[in-house]
Amino acid sequence: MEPERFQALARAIEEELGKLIVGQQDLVRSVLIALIAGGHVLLEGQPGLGKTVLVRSLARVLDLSFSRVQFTPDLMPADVTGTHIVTEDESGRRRFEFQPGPIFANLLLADEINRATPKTQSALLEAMQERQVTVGERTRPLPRPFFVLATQNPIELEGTYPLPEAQLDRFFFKLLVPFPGPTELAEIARRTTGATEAELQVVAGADDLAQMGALAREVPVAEAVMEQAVSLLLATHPERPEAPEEVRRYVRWGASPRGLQSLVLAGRIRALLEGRYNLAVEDLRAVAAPALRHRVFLNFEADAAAVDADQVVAAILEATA
Amino acid sequence: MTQIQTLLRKVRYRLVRDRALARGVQGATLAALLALAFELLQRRWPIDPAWPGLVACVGAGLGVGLVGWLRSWPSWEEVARAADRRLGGHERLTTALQFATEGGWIYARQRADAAAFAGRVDLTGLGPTPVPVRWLAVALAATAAAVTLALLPNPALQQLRLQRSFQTAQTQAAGQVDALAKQAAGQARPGENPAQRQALVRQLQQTAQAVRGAPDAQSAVAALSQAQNAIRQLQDPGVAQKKDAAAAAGQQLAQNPQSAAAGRALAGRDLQGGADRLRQLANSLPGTSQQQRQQLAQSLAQAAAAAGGDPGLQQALQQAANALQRGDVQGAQQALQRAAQEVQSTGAQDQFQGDVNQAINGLQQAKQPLEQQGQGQGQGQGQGQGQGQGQGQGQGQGQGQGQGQGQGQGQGQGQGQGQGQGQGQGQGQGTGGNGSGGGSRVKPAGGTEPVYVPGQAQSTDQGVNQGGGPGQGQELVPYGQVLSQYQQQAIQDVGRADIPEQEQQLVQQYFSGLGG
Repeated sequence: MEPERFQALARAIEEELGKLIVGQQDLVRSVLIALIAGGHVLLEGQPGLGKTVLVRSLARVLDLSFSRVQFTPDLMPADVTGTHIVTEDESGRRRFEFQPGPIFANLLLADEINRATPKTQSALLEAMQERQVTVGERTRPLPRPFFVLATQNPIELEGTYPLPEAQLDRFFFKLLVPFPGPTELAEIARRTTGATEAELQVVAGADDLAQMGALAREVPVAEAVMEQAVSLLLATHPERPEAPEEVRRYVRWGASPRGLQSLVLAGRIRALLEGRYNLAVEDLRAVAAPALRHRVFLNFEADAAAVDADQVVAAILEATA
Repeated sequence: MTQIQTLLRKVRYRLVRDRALARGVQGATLAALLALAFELLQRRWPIDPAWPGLVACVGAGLGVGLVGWLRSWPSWEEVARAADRRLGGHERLTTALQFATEGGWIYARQRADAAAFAGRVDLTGLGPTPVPVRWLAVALAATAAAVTLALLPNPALQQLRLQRSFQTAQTQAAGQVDALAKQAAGQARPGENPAQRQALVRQLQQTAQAVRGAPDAQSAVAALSQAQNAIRQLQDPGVAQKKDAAAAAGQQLAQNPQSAAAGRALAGRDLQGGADRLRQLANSLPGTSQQQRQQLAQSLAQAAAAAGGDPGLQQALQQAANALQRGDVQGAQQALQRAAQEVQSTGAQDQFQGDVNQAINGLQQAKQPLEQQGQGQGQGQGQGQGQGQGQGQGQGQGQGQGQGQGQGQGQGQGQGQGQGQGQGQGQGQGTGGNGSGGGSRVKPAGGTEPVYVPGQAQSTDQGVNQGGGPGQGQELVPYGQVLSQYQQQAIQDVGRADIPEQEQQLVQQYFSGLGG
């Protein structure tokens, strides 16, 4: 794929999504980067901000199969992965037949993922990392591409099960869905309460996404830029000399190497989207927050001081500027 | 890549220039700080001359700046990173430089993108050359402080220069005294007292050693003064009297034809020639007539009467006259031979006295550079010791005007006679605040013989020296007649309450040393 085609497809996807999603350009851009990178996304925001619409629209625009699972405390792993059921054939013989769960889709919307029990949450682990599920003794591959877009509500924490660190680390990005401004709110009302509804067109397919991801991985990275990426990641570790004061004070654990992978790959994609053919430090800084905010684990002192991960990442960016 | 290389060259030139300015200012700052430290150390441990040290400081600072500049010479990678950062290249140049030879279409596209950026970029984006204002301020402040210190008087440096000057003067004075000793040793003459000659030579040799070993100018001057005093003990005031007696006898003998030659020589103070003529006269006696002998006896008796200042000569001449009157020619010959010996001895003693005076004058000349050292030290210490001593310095300087006899504490001692003729000489002793001096003046006494008469300067209450003493402007008198008078007046003058007792004692010791 040519870079121009890459940029055209990305622009087309964003424009098509823009027909239905009002504002949220940064959110759409970040989700698109994650999809091109083949990564999963954790969306955090209040209810009603269009998270589900975004994911459904993506599936439509990219011509991907879509499933939605509303995570609840009584949701069982089999409800997600599928299970064997007893079936009877024409001759009357009974046998177990695997009934695929909603996870067997290109795009899985795990709505309010933090409301499921850790057991169910962990059922997603293998699927997210290996892109396969094992039910009984048989491992079944998931359709390609496979993306998990999970959502969680940051304000209703009672009765929720916070995602474990290992599972958080498997999300390529954690994106915060901002509340729309007055202009966007008016436009949302105008679009959703009218007689006509926007009709989305398919502008790209799974193959296009794969080719875009392959192209992004060819973008050259200079040694100095890679060193900067490494410095960014190491600065999230409180025991490292590169760590700024905020990290030493508020961070319990720093980001894993997956954080570095996310930084570099997302940066490469962003560079192409910006019309460049090399990774720049600016790309790293632009994707640092979504790539690192869920990989920086804060301590109690941070909770007491009302310091969140974004503030810590901002301090890191300031310290490494 | 041509456009990229062109851009990188321009950026590198700019970086090198900026760093040259920064390192230059830093080097100058270091140089100024080193110079300031050097000036501060100069106050404690002075170095003279100071300019090599200052040049070394400046050289070291600028050298460090130069080395720092050379070590900061940017590599191409660094230039590319700087260009990306300052021109908004988003690492295009850095990446293109690193993968300049990499194959593959994506690398080619990247290089083309970087080249396009290099072609359109505006170098004004590099911004103005940064001036290290803080370094510059530190450099200027340090330079101002160093210059101020350099311009302010440095007591330690002055002391060092005084010390060096003293050492030079000390070596020179010791050499002069050594030369005097050798000269005195080589001037031994028949008829003189060998013990006195040895004492003179030994005294000069010991003085040379003492001057060499003197710890300061005051000690050296004191050693020379002591030597002068000791050598003065070798002076014999009676020699002049004997010469006068010989001259008077010569005038009587010149009236007799037989003794006219001896008489003219003696009257002309040619003692050696007179002695020779007297011997010739003794040898010629057997060939003379009775009448001539009687006439000669009469002349010898008159000469004996005129030679009262020299009893030996008078006795010999009288014996010769008596022998001739008795007709004892042989006895007369023997008496004339003794008279000739007396005259010859007086001549030798007279020449020895000349040697003594020459040694004293030589010592005085050797003292002059040391006295200047002593005066300088006295002034320096006096300034640091208070107003009372400052007045003392004033006196000392006043005396010094006469002959550089500056004395701290207002107890300098000058030479009245010396000042009168502009030859007064003294010794400055800044540390003790006291001083002693020995003036010299040649006074005709029975001929051309020099007689050294010490004088005493008078001081006012305000510390202004009048440059005069009892002997100034008056007829000079023999040493022994005025010494006690001078001593009494000096003790009376320094006996005031505002002069420390210690200084009074020094004056008393001085006169005691003179034998007063």
